[in-house]
Amino acid sequence: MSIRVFLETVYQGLIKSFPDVSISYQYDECSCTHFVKVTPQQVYESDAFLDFEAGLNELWLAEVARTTEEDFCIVSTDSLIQLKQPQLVYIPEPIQAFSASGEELEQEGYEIGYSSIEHIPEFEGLTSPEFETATSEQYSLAA
Amino acid sequence: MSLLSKSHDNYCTFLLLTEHGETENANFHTAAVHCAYYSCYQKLIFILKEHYTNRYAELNTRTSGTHNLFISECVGCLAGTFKKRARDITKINRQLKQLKAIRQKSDYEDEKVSIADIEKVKQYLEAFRRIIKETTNL
Repeated sequence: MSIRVFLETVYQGLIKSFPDVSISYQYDECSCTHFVKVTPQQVYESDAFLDFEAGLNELWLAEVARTTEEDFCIVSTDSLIQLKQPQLVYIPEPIQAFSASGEELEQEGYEIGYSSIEHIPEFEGLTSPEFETATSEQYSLAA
Repeated sequence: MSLLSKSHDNYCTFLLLTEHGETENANFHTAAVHCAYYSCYQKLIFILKEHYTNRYAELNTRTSGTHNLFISECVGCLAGTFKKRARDITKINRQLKQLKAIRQKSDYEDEKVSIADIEKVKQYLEAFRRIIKETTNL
């Protein structure tokens, strides 16, 4: 499995299993590490997330680790490593839901949708329908 | 001198360096980060070498990218052996990779290690030692 495919698996798994988390990505050239930051911290520290991450570690070891000198690590708000210049940011945001007659539905009727930022050419393959190119304004809000 | 002894020595050196922090002529934080990471890494290698001999022999033929692979392999072995502590071992994995990254940054880049960084490094180092002690008794 290539690192790109692995990272795509990480993103899709995160979005599916933890739909409310925000995700940032940055590759650190010094340590050759693909850092994925997940917020909020409470989710990162939860048993469910640790179990999810353990599965990713198993996949990394089985499919990727022996084929690369690069590494992969998930961090959060309170971690030692922080992403100073994330190359990708993914933020869940509520999408306004409307009834058939066009009336805005109540807050509880909202569905969760996603906006995201992606501006690294080497990650073109990572783009999914949920990942859209964002404006610099969105980026500054996200960063 | 065993890797376990070296790991212990690096731990003690970390404590000494962080106790002094810096003097008028020198800052010890970078060296402290170096010692913290190697204290953990040497203990992991010792565990792999002594308790997962075949895996160690197989990996030891590699000449590049060894730190990443050794850490991932050892963590994988520990998670398989101590299933009830799998979540703690996952925490070790994520913290060790961060220690490795900050060690490389502090050793090779123009980046200053802050007191806040050192506090976090110490937290990770102590958590690593506690979990390894509780699982492997080392």
